[in-house]
Amino acid sequence: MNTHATHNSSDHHPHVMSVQMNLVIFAALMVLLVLTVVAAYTITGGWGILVAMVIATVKAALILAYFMHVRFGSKLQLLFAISAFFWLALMLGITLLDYISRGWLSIDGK
Amino acid sequence: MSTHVHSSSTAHSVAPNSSSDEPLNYLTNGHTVKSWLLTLDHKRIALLYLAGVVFFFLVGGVMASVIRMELMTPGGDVLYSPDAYNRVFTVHGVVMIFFFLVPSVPGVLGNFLLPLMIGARDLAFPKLNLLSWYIYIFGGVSALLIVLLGGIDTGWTFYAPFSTTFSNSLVVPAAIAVFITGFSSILTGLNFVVTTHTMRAPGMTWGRLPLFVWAIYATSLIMVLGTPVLAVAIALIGVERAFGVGIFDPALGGDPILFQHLFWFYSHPAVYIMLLPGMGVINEIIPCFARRPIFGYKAMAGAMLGIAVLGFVVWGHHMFVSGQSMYAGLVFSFLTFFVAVPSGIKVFNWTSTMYKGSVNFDTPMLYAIAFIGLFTIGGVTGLMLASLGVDVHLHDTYFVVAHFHYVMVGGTVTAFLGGMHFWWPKMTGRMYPEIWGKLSAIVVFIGFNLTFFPQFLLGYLGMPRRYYEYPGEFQVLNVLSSAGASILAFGFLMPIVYFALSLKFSPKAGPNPWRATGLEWETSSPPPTENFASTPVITTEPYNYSPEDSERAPWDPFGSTTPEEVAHVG
Amino acid sequence: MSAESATLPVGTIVHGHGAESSHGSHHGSGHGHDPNVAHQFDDAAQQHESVLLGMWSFLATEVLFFGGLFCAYLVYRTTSPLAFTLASQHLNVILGAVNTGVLLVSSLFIALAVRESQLGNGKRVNLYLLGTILLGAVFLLIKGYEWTTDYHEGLIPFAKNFQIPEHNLDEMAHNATPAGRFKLFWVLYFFMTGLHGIHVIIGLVMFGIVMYVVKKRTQTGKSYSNLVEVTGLYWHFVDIVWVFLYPLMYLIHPITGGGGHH
Repeated sequence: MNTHATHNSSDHHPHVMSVQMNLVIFAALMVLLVLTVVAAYTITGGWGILVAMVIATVKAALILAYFMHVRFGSKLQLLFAISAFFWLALMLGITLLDYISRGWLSIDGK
Repeated sequence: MSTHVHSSSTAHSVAPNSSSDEPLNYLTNGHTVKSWLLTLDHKRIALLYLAGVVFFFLVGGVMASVIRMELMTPGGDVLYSPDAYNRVFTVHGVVMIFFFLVPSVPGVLGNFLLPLMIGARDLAFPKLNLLSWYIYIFGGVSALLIVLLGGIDTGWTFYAPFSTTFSNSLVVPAAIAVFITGFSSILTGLNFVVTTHTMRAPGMTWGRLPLFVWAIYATSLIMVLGTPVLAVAIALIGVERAFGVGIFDPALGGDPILFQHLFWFYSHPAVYIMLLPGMGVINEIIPCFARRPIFGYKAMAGAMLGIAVLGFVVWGHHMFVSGQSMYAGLVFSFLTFFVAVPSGIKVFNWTSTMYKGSVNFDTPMLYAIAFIGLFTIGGVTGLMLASLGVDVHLHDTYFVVAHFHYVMVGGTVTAFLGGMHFWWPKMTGRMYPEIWGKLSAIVVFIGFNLTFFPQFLLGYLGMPRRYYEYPGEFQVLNVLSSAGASILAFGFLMPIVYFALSLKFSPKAGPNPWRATGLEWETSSPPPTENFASTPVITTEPYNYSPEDSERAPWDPFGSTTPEEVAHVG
Repeated sequence: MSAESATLPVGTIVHGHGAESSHGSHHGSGHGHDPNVAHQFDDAAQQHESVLLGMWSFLATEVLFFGGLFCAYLVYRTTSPLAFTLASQHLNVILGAVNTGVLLVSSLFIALAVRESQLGNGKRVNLYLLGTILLGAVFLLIKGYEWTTDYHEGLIPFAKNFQIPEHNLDEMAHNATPAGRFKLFWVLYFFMTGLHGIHVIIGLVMFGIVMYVVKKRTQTGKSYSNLVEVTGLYWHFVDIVWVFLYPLMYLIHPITGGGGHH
């Protein structure tokens, strides 16, 4: 079916997001910005980076889903967006695997 | 024919002012230089790419010849200095990988065939397609200028800190040239991905796509997702070298292993950028010349996607003897063995397709069969290298060189030549001389094995790669290899000559000389500019062949069947 | 499969081309190919989906492009957290926050510009685009101010006056952290924010061009919404990169601690 979806002009209805909705998302983003700064000053210790990254991820997700219309666009756009971050995670995760496992063996240089 | 096209391709004229009886095709539709250099037609751009890759193949080939000449004797007597030798093999690697292998099958056959195979008028972004070619040529010409101005000596891998701190060659310009060329690859991949998603004709479902399209799609995913990481790695090398800041140099606080991680995150998948399109070509040739539907269509498509994805998680097997952690090495070794599963599926399915088929040993099929054998050897020796303990012995020896040449030359180049013979009638409207084609396939096969099999032995005996002098006991094998290289060179030059001559002297091919299925054979040869007279509608499954349907003698050693006869059979 | 092809509205698909494809690329004669649709596409929907996917593919490339730098950041921060903490404390948290806000507002403007382009209000589209260009310029000005300050403090690793502050050196020596990693933070900071800045500049130039095209096409009645939407996607991506850069560069913990120097 996906072959024809794009050929069928009758389902060509770009989603128009209301002004109100745009403002709500924007407000949420600003709140998160304030939150991340406040958190940076108040949370000490190892949790800080985690909180900061979670907030940044939520912000990015809001921008992707609403401002970039992933929520209303085709599934393909969602797939493309997810693959990009999935591949990024592969690169970061596997590279980090090397660095954190260095020194696990008591052999010099391994 | 199985696939239904609304009107025959000869029933229309392309331009109203066409004076002759013959309708205009993409080759005759415009003769000026401008109509070629500014063309937006994917078929013409494919031929532009063909000119580019043949040129760079010759440049890389000359470098290979110099290397093999140097290695005929244990001493350094052709190039006189190890430094010159370093530059020559670096140019060979950079040119062959970035300017021949990566753009070869996608740029030429992918460009030409993708829209035809899915029933589209063109790629989704024709201007971007032309831009890709210009970036490619710009990058390639810059690289050659750099060679003329002194070259680089880092090997194609640009390993830090040698490249950033110690090398006295033109690393930064070369890095910029590779960086720029990367964008050509990215834009091509982007174009193919989008085209495959949105430009398929009605009825061309994912389950009916020719496997060549699946291959090109899987390749394009790697191009889009991998190439930018190489670009960043190369850019960081440039920054470190230009400003003397320690990103990778341990003396300045950097970590050289990080460069290898970033580099191989692209460059291992890049092996599959070079290989997968070749596999796609073989997928098309084998069923046609065995007259049987491809065995295990879904497994074949899945295997190619699997290779593309798995190819991204095995890069550390290039780094077993670097400072990488032993645990990471273990994981990378383990994952590498998994890539053998989809690769094995493909080899088994190709052979299963031929089983009980009515096999014709025409030139494309000879190349395809050579591919299967050579790729299998290349793949299995890859598994030897993926074993941690064995790799310690074989790392950076000629065993590795032989391994990747079996995959890259025995695999990709063989497939490229097979594909060129298979689709030459479609691209030019002319047959090639079959007897010469068969001869070239046999010469290439013999020359290839004579060149690279001795290198397995050399590597196993301990001869390191990238050395221009070696102990005398390695000479016999090196001379064998060099002798093979001259046969191989002859084999590669043959098609260039007879393809060129065929444009004038060979008989016309007709729309479908191989009686192949697939949309590209439904239109005339050469195809009209807009590919199809009307948008085709696909109602049947791909590879609709049957052995009983084969009306040709299964074994035709002297190529006595003329193309006209073949065309008439169809 | 066959049921699927049977339900195809075959007529509508072939309709666009059967007769007129013989015109090659110059259509527009009579029973028209939509002038807003390029020759290789069948209809506006196919074109819309294609250009969107094209931009998404490009953004996937961009994610991995910046990703390589984030990878370097991750490795060096994980292996030398102290050097990164000390270096980060020289950045101005408030200016970074303001700049984040500036980019978020510009993203809102772009979202609204896309909305107006879908509704066909060319003038409002250009108003929002102009606002975005101004905000982008403000972002760059603030960034430029920060970079100038960094230069005066001797923190630009590409400049001759780069010098690691004495108290930072002491603390790193005390904790067996290689001082080169302090410099590495600044290399990555300038490389990443610089690359991001280049993306901002490219965005602003693009929006300038888009404004011109929108104005032209408003007069001729041609469609411009795809263009606005695609460039908008790019801008949101640039915003997302900054959303991650800000905490990673500016908000390394503990902000006020850092071993009591200052």
